[in-house]
Amino acid sequence: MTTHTKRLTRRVLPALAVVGAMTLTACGGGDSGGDGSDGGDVTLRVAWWGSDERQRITEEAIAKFEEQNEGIKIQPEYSTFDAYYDQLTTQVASNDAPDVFAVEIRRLGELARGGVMADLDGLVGTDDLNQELLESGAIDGVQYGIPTGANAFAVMANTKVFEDAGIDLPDDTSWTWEDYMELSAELTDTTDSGLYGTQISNNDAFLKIFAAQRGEAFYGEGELAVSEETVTDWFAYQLEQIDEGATPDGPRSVEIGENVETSLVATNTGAMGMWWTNQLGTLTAGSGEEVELLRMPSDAGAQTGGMFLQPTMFWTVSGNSAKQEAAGKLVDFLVNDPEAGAIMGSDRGLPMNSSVLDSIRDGLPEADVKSLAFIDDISDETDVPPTALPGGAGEIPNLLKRYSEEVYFERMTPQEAAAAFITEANSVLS
Amino acid sequence: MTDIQERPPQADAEKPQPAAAGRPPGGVGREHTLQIRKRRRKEALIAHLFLAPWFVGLIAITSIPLLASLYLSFTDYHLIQDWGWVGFENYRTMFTEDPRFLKALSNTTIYVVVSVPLQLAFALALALILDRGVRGLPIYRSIYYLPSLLGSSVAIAILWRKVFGADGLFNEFLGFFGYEGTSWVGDPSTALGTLVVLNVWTFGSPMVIFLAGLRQIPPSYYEAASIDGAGKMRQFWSITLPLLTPIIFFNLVLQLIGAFQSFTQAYVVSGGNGSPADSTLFYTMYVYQKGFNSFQMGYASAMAWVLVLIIAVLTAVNFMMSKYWVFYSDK
Repeated sequence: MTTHTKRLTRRVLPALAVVGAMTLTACGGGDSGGDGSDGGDVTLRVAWWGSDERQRITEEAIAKFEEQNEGIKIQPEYSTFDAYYDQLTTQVASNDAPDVFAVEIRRLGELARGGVMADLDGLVGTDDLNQELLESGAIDGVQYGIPTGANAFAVMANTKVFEDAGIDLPDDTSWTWEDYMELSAELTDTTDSGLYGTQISNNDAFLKIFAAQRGEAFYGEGELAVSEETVTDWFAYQLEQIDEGATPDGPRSVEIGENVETSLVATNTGAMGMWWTNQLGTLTAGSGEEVELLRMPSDAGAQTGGMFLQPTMFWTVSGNSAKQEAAGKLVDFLVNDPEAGAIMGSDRGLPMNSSVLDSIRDGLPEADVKSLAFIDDISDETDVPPTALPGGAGEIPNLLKRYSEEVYFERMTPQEAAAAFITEANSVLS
Repeated sequence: MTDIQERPPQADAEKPQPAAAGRPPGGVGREHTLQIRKRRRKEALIAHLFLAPWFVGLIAITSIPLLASLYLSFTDYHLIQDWGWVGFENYRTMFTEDPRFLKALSNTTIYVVVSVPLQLAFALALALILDRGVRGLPIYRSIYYLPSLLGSSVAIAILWRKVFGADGLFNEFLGFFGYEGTSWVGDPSTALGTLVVLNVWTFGSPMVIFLAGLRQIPPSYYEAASIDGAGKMRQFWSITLPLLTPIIFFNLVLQLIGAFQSFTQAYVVSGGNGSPADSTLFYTMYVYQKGFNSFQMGYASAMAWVLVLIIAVLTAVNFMMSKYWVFYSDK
């Protein structure tokens, strides 16, 4: 027993010491690089979400920035979209927010009103930016966010599937919701089994356009402005699409979800779908076929097409940051510098700085050229970009999805779902 | 538990007992005691050193946040907005004004009540088969244990989504029988079922414990029983099962607690929102949604504490009930 203990001591204690040391370093490791100011340099923490491709090009642009601005070092903190806000809000709550971070319009209002962000007036040059879009980043007259670029929500059509079915692309200047449904059902019928005319979209942008065509706004002050009747009709339209065979059946539709890479158009198993224009590249690359942009259908008596340009996301600067000047410089570089524009293209939406756009126009990939032409095309018809949304708007997509599913599986009628959706949404919004 | 691990029972009788064997009283003995004491102290020190990393973790990573969350559960702590003390408001809202809370609670309860007994039955059945001295037992044991290691991982949940998807393996299999299924994870009436199956599939860890338990039953009991003419079934009901009850109890307690807390599978299979139509909204997932999507950390904390209470009460009831069905052979 004694020798055993000795052996134990000799062998185990160093091991324990190592474990202990590791535990301690793990505890202390969290804030490494927090200020990291070696030799007077400023280190900026920059956070965004997105794909590997976005990470690659953003880092490339950042490297350019570091080259031009000696003394400023950038420390990227990227993650997937799913994990992004978890991390960001936790950091915000513990006063450890990144100096520069990206947010979408759905969360901008909430975070800005929570006093999380800095006023960017004077920190970022905005003269060449699209002023209408810029307005989206202002709340109560304070410029909290600078749009990274613009997007429109539109129908995308896989030309190969149309061709194989022997059906022509529709005339998107005049088509109605009825046409869209009939065409989709016809495509499902004429093509092989396993191919569908379209897929369900629960995107709130779809409902926003649907409502705008009836002269209704989606959001009001801290609540929904859309009427129960419109939401009822929208849910009913979704259900009818399933019933008519325009889309896959309910369970399949749920499984397909909103993922762009695995969508029907991207996998050549569907003819149409609705997405943001900056997703055209992904759809084209996924399918390997020509994908065309089409206007959203409308109602016969609609007052407007309802389509709108929306900032894809915003760059914002932390209100707590001690390095706001350097942070502003970085944001300025990302939105105003032609070199940055050339590197990042339309990944975060088409650049909204006119001179950047002009300088990169020729070098854009084909999908971007198409998006740009499309946005030019519809520019006379689009509504004004939305202003910052009420707090809690980030939860609306999940609510829409949930109540849509209640409708697909006939657990609720469209009317019941619409009433419940509006009640719950208004309790969430502020 | 302990009584089983300390067996086989013969051990006590055979152990030599030198300490009591005619040692002269007096100085030598006392010196010896001192030495023992010294050694004991040293051993205690080592033991504490061993515990130290865990202890640091317990205080820094578990206890402090735990107490903080108890406090926060009485506030409307919001990650971004101002917040303050609200007393029992969160708890009241939960049970009176939040249908999704009740939905999450009922989903989780169904999941636990269906999957845990199935999983244990499966584990026991396989343990019984493997205990028959199958050749290559360690290999089988490892293979069957594998799902337990993987079961709560993201990769398996993604795989599950594929297997039970519209064009998945499961429908392929059903296709042989002429049945054409749609998406099992996309249908609210079957999505929870796929998660139950996933949990049952991870029967490995209770199985390994059952196997260890079976090994502890003295073969002499079976010999005596077969001499008395008892058949295999009779032996199972009268010897194996009663002697295994402590193990069954142990597994039951562990799996119940684990199942109530399960999160990853449902999160991944449903795409993070309890879809379709909240049919896979687990309790922990709702806590997560409240905390990280709605930023209502106070409410989420209160929900977490309700779960702690549920599990504590359930475990206490379990222990009380155990008096009536768990058999400890040394009592």
